[in-house]
Amino acid sequence: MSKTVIKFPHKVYTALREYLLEDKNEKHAFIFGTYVKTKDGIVVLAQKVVGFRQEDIEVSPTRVKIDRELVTHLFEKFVESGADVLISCHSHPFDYGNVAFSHIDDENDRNLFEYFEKEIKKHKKDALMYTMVFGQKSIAARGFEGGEFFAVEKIVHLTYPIEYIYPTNAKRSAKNIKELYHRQVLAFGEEAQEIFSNLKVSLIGAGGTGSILAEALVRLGVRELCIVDHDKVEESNLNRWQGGGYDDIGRYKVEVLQERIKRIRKDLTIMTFTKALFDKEVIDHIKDSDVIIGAVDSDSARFLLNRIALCYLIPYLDCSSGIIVKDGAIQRLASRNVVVIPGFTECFNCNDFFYDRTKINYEFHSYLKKEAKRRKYIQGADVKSPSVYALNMLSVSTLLLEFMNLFTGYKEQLYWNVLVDFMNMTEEIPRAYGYQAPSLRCIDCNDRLARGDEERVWELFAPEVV
Amino acid sequence: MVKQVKLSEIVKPNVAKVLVEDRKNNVVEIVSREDMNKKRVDPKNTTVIPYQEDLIDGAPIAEAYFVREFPLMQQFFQDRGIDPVVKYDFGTPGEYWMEIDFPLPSVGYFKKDGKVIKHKYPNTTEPLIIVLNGYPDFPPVGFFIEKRSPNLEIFQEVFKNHLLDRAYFVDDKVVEFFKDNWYWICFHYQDNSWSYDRYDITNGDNLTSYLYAIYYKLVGIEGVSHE
Repeated sequence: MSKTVIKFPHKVYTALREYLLEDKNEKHAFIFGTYVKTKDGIVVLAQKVVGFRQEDIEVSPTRVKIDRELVTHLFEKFVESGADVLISCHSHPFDYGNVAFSHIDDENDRNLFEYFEKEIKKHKKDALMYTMVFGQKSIAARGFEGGEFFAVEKIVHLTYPIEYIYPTNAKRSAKNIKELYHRQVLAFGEEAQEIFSNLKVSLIGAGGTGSILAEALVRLGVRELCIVDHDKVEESNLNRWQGGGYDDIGRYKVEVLQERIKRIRKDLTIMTFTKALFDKEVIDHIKDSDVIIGAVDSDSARFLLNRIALCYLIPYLDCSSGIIVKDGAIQRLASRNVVVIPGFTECFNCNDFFYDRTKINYEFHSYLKKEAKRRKYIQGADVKSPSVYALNMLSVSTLLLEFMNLFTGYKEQLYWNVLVDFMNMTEEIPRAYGYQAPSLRCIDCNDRLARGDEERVWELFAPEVV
Repeated sequence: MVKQVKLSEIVKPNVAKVLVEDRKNNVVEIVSREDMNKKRVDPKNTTVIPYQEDLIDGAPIAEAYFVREFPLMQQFFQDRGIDPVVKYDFGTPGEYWMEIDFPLPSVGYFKKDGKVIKHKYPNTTEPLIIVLNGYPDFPPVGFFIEKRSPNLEIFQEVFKNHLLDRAYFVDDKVVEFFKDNWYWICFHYQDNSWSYDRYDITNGDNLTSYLYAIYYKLVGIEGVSHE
């Protein structure tokens, strides 16, 4: 049975719940979505709710009757659409406990699944179907394989804090919290620690901030990490590359990091890539992550990570720091963190102030990029920026406090964007910007949300010209 | 796959259906013009876009927005007495483009050695290929003109050192055709000034505003180039 996780953008989840549980009558709606295959299962990305008009269906507190013609019409719409996942959802509004599929649900669902297999797959052979039942306080969700139902493992609601809903029909393994995390459990509780240990975190960039982040994530309890960086350790990195020494010079950063963090915890699952982010193989491995952390120093990498986050419904936390030196004097010494919850907060593309758009635009055109560098419209990546360990640590610390907050909700407010300028601590910076809803003008937040592989993000930028 | 449309044939003077986006209630629906007038939608919270039947779920986003721009482009060409065929390709990521017969002004001006020179264009139209990689998030960064064009000399004066004897497509594995026969002209919006409004494509920058920018430049009005 495929291990299945269903991810809901906030707007889709709330619209669905409100529709299904708006009164005491049972309701029925469908979700159109897409999915990505992972190494051990399926991640479903919910795209939109398709409901029926009240006047077209018959509802009562215990049943909902939908005309066969309406259902056929809906299946036709599904076949015509770009979606390849259909989720049939209904409610048990009377249920305030652990909701369960009834015997009538079993019979109806079995018929529906068989119809789907026989008729719909003629037109969409790779399409998948699931069913869900919503009670007032819980959800049950399942698929159908080899004539048997199987439980959906987890439902993710992308909000703040991230809500993990474990279907009532799914078996949960017993908590196995190590003594290593005892002092953290005293702060956040066992449930939160369990969430940390079940996260797959993709860390993009293993440089000054990435090397600190990797270690800190493991010490926090993260057990599965994917680390991407194609750079090797150089002597000039050692002022800030945590744990690095002269013996490591010339080795890939991700390899050195892997060895180091495995000393903290032996049962880690670590995947490393010594490639640039702009690679389909890398993106294939990070698209099923629970969270992406960007520790990168290029706007085009941020642009791509932002798009991956929106397309695959993955929270994206960006960690950066910078020092501006003018005429030999430091003008600015700042760290910045940004938290993007797809479809819930603003993303990098909602605003003009995050990117140098001219530079990114040239990334779409490799020859022009070369020409633009020659004409000095943009700088090359080979321009080295000043960097110090202490500032990187500051940036990582504030980011991880927000990371913990994202999954535990230990404080009331999510800080969407935190800026700390150590040169002006007594004035208006540091500044933490609270929750900002996605911009209605943003194409990433609206049109690309949950598009999955259809968006082909790996082909976004032109190949680098040597 | 290259597609080809004649704008005057697909953009009807009175578009039968419109796409109505109710921003206040976050609802999108497609209605006939007649129904929309009956509904008397609140213009403050609503965007109305002429609806193209061939916009389908799952189409590449760039193409979907491109098709929405047809009525605007049609207006641009119609005002200049042209009824062009538009060729476009959104089939290969990183190689999005459109080809049009661009209307040229009858008279234009450019500066040379501090003097304003008046000139006439030998032809009334010029085939241009506009590169749309990054659209609609980002503006076009330039266009191609044929090397054998009789208008080339004036284009060189108008766009000066922004004319490059090389097509970047060559590096990006497309056709040899561009390499020898086309010049690339670098002509784009200034930093961050492109603002595309997905809710109301007429409210902000769009491809048609880019066509106007080229036109103004050819007339001699300074606009959006790097100069």
